Amino acid sequence: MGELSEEEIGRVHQYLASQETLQREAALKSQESFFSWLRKMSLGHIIGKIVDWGILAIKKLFGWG
Amino acid sequence: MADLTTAEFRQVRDAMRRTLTSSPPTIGLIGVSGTGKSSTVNAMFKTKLPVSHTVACTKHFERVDLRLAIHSGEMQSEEVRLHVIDAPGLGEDVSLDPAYLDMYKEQLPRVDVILWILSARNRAMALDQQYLAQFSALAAKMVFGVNQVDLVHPMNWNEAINLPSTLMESYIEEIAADRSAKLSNVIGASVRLVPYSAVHGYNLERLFTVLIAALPEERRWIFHGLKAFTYRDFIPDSVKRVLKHKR
Repeated sequence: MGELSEEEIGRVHQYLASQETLQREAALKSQESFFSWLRKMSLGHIIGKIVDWGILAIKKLFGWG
Repeated sequence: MADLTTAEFRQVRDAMRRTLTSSPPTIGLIGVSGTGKSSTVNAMFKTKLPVSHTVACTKHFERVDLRLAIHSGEMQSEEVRLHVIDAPGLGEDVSLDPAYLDMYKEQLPRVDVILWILSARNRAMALDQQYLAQFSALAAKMVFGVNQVDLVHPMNWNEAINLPSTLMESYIEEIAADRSAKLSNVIGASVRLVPYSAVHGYNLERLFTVLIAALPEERRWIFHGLKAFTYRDFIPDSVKRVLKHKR
């Protein structure tokens, strides 16, 4: 593969930044959803113990995906 | 993990199991044959829906029960099922379509989200518009994906960076605007529409984020737990090396 141009590198940076923002947006919405679900299951008391994990709480607990 | 007591962990696990068993995640897939519906689901969730490049894999309306492997963690022996409602042969045979549409009408009200796949190559929207008119009451749970943008004129995908050329990018924007307008005209409201390429993983993150936003709030964590990709999976290693070097 030949060397990438500055324009190409710029496009990649821009694209990655946009995808990262989207990924975080989805993660935040899903985290709120998970915590809401915990409260609905009368498990709201554990939220404080896992809040540092964020959306990774699900995968960390159960290795999904 | 060490922050939770064993009893607390068990409570969460049991609650998850009950929720997933009583109400497994369900996607309604709509789109005429050849738009890459199965490829899209496979890319997002690492599933193995059959993909055919010639004829539809099956002519029958399907409710596919996908069992997703849990590879690690405390629930390693547990099963998570993703249900996909699909009519793989939609649009291929005018005699079969009414039956497919009737089955969709019965099943779609019960799904969590409807993923409607269009092909960027196909400017003819009449069939999709006709189908949409029959399901417009369900528009609130719909996400439209315009797939196969890698085949947009002049088809000079930049393989080095795995992105469309700048000219393709401008045409993709036009296509997205055109399809949005045509679909919006049918339902009388704006639609959620994302142009992407399942094969190249291009904009898959955007499609997934829009899908999450379309889900009922209480269901989002389930689908996010099943997400099996990240945008970084599709960046060529050579590009990653260059970006790392440039920092």
